[in-house]
Amino acid sequence: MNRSVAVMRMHLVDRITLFLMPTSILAASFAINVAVWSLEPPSGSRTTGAAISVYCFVLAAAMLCVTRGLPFALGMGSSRRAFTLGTGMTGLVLALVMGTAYLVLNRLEVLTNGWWLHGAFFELPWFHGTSPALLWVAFTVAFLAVFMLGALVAAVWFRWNSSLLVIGAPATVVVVGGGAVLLTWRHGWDNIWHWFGDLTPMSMTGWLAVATVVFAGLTWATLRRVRAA
Amino acid sequence: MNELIEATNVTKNYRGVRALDDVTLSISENSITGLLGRNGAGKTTLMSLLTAQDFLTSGSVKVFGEDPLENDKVLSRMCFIRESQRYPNNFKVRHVLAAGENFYPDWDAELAASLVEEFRLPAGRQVEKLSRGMRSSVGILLGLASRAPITIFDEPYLGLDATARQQFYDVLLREYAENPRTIVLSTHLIDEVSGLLSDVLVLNDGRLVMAGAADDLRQRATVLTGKDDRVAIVAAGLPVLHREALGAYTALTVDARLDDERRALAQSMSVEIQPVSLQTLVVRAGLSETAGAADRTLSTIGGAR
Repeated sequence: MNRSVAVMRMHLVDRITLFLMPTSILAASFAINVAVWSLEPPSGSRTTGAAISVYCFVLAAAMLCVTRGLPFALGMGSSRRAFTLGTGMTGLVLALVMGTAYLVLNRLEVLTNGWWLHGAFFELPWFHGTSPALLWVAFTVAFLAVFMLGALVAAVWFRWNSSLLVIGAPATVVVVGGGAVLLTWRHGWDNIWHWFGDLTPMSMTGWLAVATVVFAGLTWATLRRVRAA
Repeated sequence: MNELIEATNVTKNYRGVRALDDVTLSISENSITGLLGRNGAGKTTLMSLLTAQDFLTSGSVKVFGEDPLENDKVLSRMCFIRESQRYPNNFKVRHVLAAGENFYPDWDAELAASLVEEFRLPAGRQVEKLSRGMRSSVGILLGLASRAPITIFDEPYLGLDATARQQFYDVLLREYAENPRTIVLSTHLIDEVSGLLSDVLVLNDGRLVMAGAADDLRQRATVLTGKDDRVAIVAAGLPVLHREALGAYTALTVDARLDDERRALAQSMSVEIQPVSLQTLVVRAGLSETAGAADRTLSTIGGAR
């Protein structure tokens, strides 16, 4: 366990960058939206999906944690298990911090009636009626899911990078393309869109929690036989 | 002496290429072992297997008497600095030190700080942006300050100038004298580190061709120089490692120490006797394999250590 903590502390050793990066990304996208809102006539839609920017940051951070952290951690006598656990713990810490920050900003947005501009940055219309507690869980689980996805992609890349481009890329095209053809043939697209349309913050969080567990399992399955060479 | 690392019949294949072939060796506690051999001889592969960073094709590795694979108890007492060690890209030198302190309970912060000074490392610069030599210094610092009971360096001096290398050797010896531990060092600069090593392992083409105490190896082979026919008489019956002809003269490297009788014979026939340096011996070992003289070099000296 303390080896996993050491791995987590390694990931978190550069706290300033880890804190400054998402803060400045968020500040920049928020400033752009505020500028647009104040220029637009009040009648237009003021909903933005720019809050996703920090999710993208977490995705990238998770990838870097694995690709750059693994060779160093193994050299420092960490086992693959301790590395995977410690990286997952890092994701949990990041998700909790980001999720809490998003909830606080969401509450502020509601309190200030969309930053006095009727903007919807953190409180999307889709969230209306969701309790703050559930919203906090939703934000946090979504951050964790994105982190584990990033970790999984990076783990797969780290383990099979050379063969990935040759086999993995065409295989992905076949699977995704084949799935699309199959869906069109079976007239399945409507069902897909309905399924997405029926999602609530609650059910979405449930699915993301399932995805997180699956991603974490696959990450461990990939890393447990990884070569550091 | 206590054997800390034991490899038995270790074989490693990479996609049909045999990187290590049936290697059996042991490394004893508180030794400084030089792992020598040509590029591609299997040194890095061996070190990766000893630290469980790679997987065996067959054979077994025991460290502190246990399989190191996914073994936190064993791995937490080992530190392996690769020749091209990667660091998280945002890491500055001081972050590396902080991370090292997290990983190793015996981390010596004082030593780390003094080495930053001694190696003139910029604590606030990103490690991946440092020059080759400075990155090597970071690795050396990390390995030494870790105080890991087993510290393994893969060609730690890359890009270091002669002064910095001497600093490394000095610090290594000083540190070793104060806190004895087991150090494994792969290197090409054999003559330079020769005086540092207590034990030597030589790999060639994935096989262990020499193993023994450095002192034994340093006195193992002899060069006989003199007139062709006279050298032949002195060397009669001795295993030949190398022959160099210079007109009527021959420099013959034999894999043996001369007994008093032969020494007297050599003197009477004006055949000059010189011991072979470790470096020359390793070079000969690397060449003789291709010359089909594998059998001679395969015999390990010092018996089963």
